[in-house]
Parts: sequence; structure tokens; C-alpha cells
Amino acid sequence: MLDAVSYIVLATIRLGTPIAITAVGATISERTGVVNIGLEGIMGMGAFLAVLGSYWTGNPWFGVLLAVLVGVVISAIHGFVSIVCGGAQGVSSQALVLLATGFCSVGLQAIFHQKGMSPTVNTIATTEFLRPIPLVGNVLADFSPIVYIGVLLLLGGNFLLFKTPLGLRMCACGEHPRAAETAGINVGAMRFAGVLLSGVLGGLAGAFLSVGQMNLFQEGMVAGRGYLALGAVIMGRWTPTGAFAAAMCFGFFDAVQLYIQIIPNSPIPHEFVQMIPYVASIIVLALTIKGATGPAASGKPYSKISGTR
Amino acid sequence: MKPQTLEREGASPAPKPPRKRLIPPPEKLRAAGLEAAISLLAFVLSIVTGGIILAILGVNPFTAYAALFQGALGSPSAIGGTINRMIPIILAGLAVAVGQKGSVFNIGVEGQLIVGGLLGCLAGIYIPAPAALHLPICMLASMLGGLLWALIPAWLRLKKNVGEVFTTIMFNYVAKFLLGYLVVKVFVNAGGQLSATEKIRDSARLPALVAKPYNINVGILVAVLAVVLVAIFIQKTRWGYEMRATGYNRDASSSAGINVGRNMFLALLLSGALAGLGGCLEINGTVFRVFESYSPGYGATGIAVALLAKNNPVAVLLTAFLFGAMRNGAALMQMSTGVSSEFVSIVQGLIIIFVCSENFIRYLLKKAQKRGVKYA
Repeated sequence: MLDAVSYIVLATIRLGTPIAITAVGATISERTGVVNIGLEGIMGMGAFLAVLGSYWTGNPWFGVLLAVLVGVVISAIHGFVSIVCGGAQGVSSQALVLLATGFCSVGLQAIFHQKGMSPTVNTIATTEFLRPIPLVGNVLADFSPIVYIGVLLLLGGNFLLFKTPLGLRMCACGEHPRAAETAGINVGAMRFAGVLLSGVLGGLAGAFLSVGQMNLFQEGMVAGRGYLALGAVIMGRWTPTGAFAAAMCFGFFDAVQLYIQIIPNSPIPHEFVQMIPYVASIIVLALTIKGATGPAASGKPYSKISGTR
Repeated sequence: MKPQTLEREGASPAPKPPRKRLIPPPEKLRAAGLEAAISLLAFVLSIVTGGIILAILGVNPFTAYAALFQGALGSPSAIGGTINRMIPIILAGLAVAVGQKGSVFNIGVEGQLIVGGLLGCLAGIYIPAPAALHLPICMLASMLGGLLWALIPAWLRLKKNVGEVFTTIMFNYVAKFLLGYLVVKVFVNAGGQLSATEKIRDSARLPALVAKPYNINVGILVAVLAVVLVAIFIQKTRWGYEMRATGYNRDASSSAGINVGRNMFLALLLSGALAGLGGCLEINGTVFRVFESYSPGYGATGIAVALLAKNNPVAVLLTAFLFGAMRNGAALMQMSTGVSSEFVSIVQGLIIIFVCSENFIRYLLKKAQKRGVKYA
């Protein structure tokens, strides 16, 4: 019994972290007024590029750097389309998902000459400098450093949004961009900052999936976590802390799913077990959504050239 | 999340009224021409950018595109394959377009198509029916399946205000796992080696419209009929009008006494039913059995198709042809040049991006025009 509990707790942290990091980024982006459904694709690209960087140099941190960079580049595309051109945000970010799935699949065959998954690469699965800590050191050291970076990012995101003038300006752009602009705020720049930050965090989360948790890239390995992060944003009422907690809740469902799968002779077919995170997230969201209202102008374009300003 | 901006600028999502006036007024034609030009430009830009990506990955883009074209239209059987590929893509695109008209972004077309196709297939295997009735039964079953798969997201949207984008995506994943379970454990074929169902009865198969070597099946007629019916529904009926109004401006429609929530609900259900029919036509026309991952992402393709067609049902036919050709040609491209057939997804994504930045193109055009006036 104790084994089960500790297994699920540890797995929750491992599986929840990528969703949580992405959810913090998505929160910041939506606060500035841009919904980024493309995070699913950004995570995929991040995961792929992280493996690629690690493969080329043998240093997984270089892979993480590449993943973050690609996150910035791809979210910049989304930013250009949705902020500068005033295009439909939901549709445009869906393009990122297509782009990413296509790119990873084509890239796998072109670079590794393999289908479905990459060769194994060096990883950053453990945080060795924490091991000397008495009692909990071994447990703490078994998490990837990205888990701790994720916690720092949560604190940083909270601080940025709610404690700094910049954060206040960003939030203003998501509530009432016209008023914000009247007050002298550059709405486009603020929104770009939000989207690019979500790209950075999405890329990092993707890197965690491939070099932090596993040691290779596999097609479809993101498996909807980018979308779950968006659900977590709603459930967390558009605050980084809330989104982080909600993401950990989704991570918990994933952990339960994994645990049931490893029980020998489980009576439930594994396909149904695998559905758990998706079904549970819908149920939880439906139960908790009452009274949730996002930033007023989130998802609404505000652009000079499209005439929506 | 809200696709209104797509509609706001585009002055003519409408298929033209057939009898009253054969030629629409010139300003409408001009606007439609501009729309078409932008879509065409977006397509060309995507092909070029896709080529550049191929070149970066170390593949000669010209050989790759040549193989793609060869595989899509290079022989009678290739042309037939392209047309057959078009069929589910038309329905998927139509499903997305109908949703968008009613202000619903249905990303769940993939799941609805899978479930619809599965139900259609099961009806084709297990219901003994005379030939004349069997196909309609399968189609109805599939539409019901797609509709049911859209029902919970639609209900959650109506009653709980849970965004349909999130729920329909989650339902896609659930549908995939459900399909995996059913074809591996429940409806397995007699031999049991394949993870697939039995083949459907002969009476449930769509007959050939054009014989070999083209081998085009009747599904294309059904798809075209669906396009026509949907166009009439949207353009000529009260329900369609209310749905369009909801899509243009929810607040205005609501104050005009239109029940916005109900219209979004119905738009999503209709969208799901169309998606389900798409699955059925694919199964009963080409594959004859359901297996895991029988849909190579028709749902996502549908989004690109509808967007490029500006949600115009008739234009969906054209754009579906483009994507059908790409999907069909991609197989040969993969064989002869080693480029993954998923390359098509990249091009699709690029198309969406370029179409979404249409305002930028308009802006540049306007700027150019103004400059022309200044210097004149």
C-alpha cells in the first residue's frame, strides 16, 4: 500500500511537471490576451529538438537550449499571425500542431533514418548535487533538474504577473487592450512577450518529456499534454499557482493510469486505463468551471492592420 | 478561440443563389476574386516554404514534389486514388466549416469521424439487409455515431459553458483508445492475426462509379450531395440563417432573439454527423474494414480544408481536391524519396498560417494602392 502511494506521488510529480510548466506559460499568454492551443505542437518540437541537440553534441543541456529556442521561434509565428495580423487565434495555433507533427516525423526520417522514434541520447534525468542531503536526498536527486526549474518558473511567473509593473501591464492587455493602449502601453509588445514566454516554457516542457523523463523522442509522445495544460489554465482560474496545481492534478490521473497498467492481471483493458487522464480532465473541468471567467479580451484580436483596433 | 474575425472581413462566404440571379454583382465578384487570390497565394507560399524546409533537411524539393505530383495525378489509378481520398476530406472539411459558421471550432472531427466510421462499418458487417437498404443504414449509423460523439461536448458547452475546443480534443484521444480496444479485443476478424474487424458485406460496399483503372467509387457523389445540401441549408433555411448569424456576431444575434446557445449546440451536432458520414464513406468505399489508425488525420486536414475554403461549402470541394491529391501523392513520395508522408502535415500547417495572415496581405495591398494614389 505504501509502495503504491509513493509510486503515485513520485509519478505525479514526474508526469505533472511538463503539463504544469506549459500551463504556467499558457497562463501568462492568456493573461496578455492570446490563447495558444499550439502549445501541444511547441512541446512536440521541443521534445524533438532536445533529442537532436543531445544527439549532436552529447550534452543534453544543449538540447534543452535548442528546445527553448524552437519554442520561441514557433510561438513567434503564432504571435505574428494572431497579434500583428489579427488572425483567428484558435485556428492559427492549430497550425502549429500540424507543423510540429509533420516536422518531427519528416525530421526523424531525414536525420535519423528511423520511423516512429529516435535513437537513445544522453539525458538529464537526475539532479546529483541534491543527493548528499540527509533522508530525502536520494528521492530529490531522482528528479530531473527541470522539475526544480519548473517550480522556479512558477514562482517567477507569479512574481512577474502580480508583483511587477510589467505584469500589471501584461494583464491589462488581456482585459481591455484599448484602455491599455490609451494608457500608453504597447499592446502588441506585451502580447508578444506573453506568447514568446509561453513558447519558452512549452519548449522546456517538451525537452523534459524527451531528455528529462525518457532518453529518446517518440512520435506522439506529447499525447495531448499541451491541450491538458490549457484545461489546467481554466481550472486554475488564470493564475500560475492555480494552473500549476490543476496540472499536477492531471498529472495525478496520469500517474494512476500508469499504476493500474503495471498491476499484474489487471481486469480493466489497458486502453480504458489510458483514457483515464482525458476523461477525468473533462469531468474535473466540468465540475469546477462554474464561475470561471478568463481575461475579458483573451482570444480577441487587437490589431491595427486587421481593423480590430 | 473565436473564429469571428475570419468571417468579419470576408464579404462573401456565400454560394451564389442559383436561380434568382445568375451573375452576382461586380463588387461581390471582386471581393470573391480577392478571397480566391489570397487562398491561392497562401497555397503557393506554403508549397515554396515546404520546399525550403525539404532543402534544409537535405532532400531535393524538386524530386520530392515531382514524386508527389506523380503519385497524385500521374496515372489513371493515381487520379482515382486522389478522388477516393477526397471523399472523407470533403466531409471533414464540411464538418469544420459548418461548425465555424455556427461559431463553434470543432477540433473533434477526427474522433467523430473515427466513431462514425466504426459504427457504419459494424452496421455493414452485422446487419443483414437488402442491397438497396444496406448502404443507407450504414450511412445513418455513421452519422448517428458522429453525432453521439459530439453530443457530450455540445451538451457541456450548452449547459456548463465548457469550451468545445478542449472537450472535443479530449474526445479525440478517447476515441482513439476506444477504437484500439474494439478492433483488438471485441470485433476482431475470424483469423485474428490482424488488428482489424471483418470485412463488410458486399451489399454495404459503395459501388464503383468509374471502373478500373480509375476505380472511383460512388462516395464522391454522396460527398458532393452533402456539400449541396449543406450549402442550401446554410444559405436558404431559417435554421441556417440563425446559425450564420450566430457565427457573425453572437451578441447581436442574441439581442435579435436568436437562441445562441442552441444554435452552437446544433452546429456542433451537425458537424459531428457530417464527420461521421466521412468515416463511413472511407470505410464502405475504400477500406471495407476498420483497423487502428485508419484515419491518417482527416480531422486536422479538415481544418486546413475549411480554412482555405473560407468555410464556403462549395469551395471545400476544390480545397479538398488539393489535399486529397497531396495525401495520395505523399505515399509515392515516401517510397521514392524517403521523405515521410507526414510532410503533407507541414504544408497543411503552413497553409493555415498563411491564410490566417491574410490581413497582412490585404494591408500590403491597401498600402500599395494608397501609394499608387499618392504618386498618380
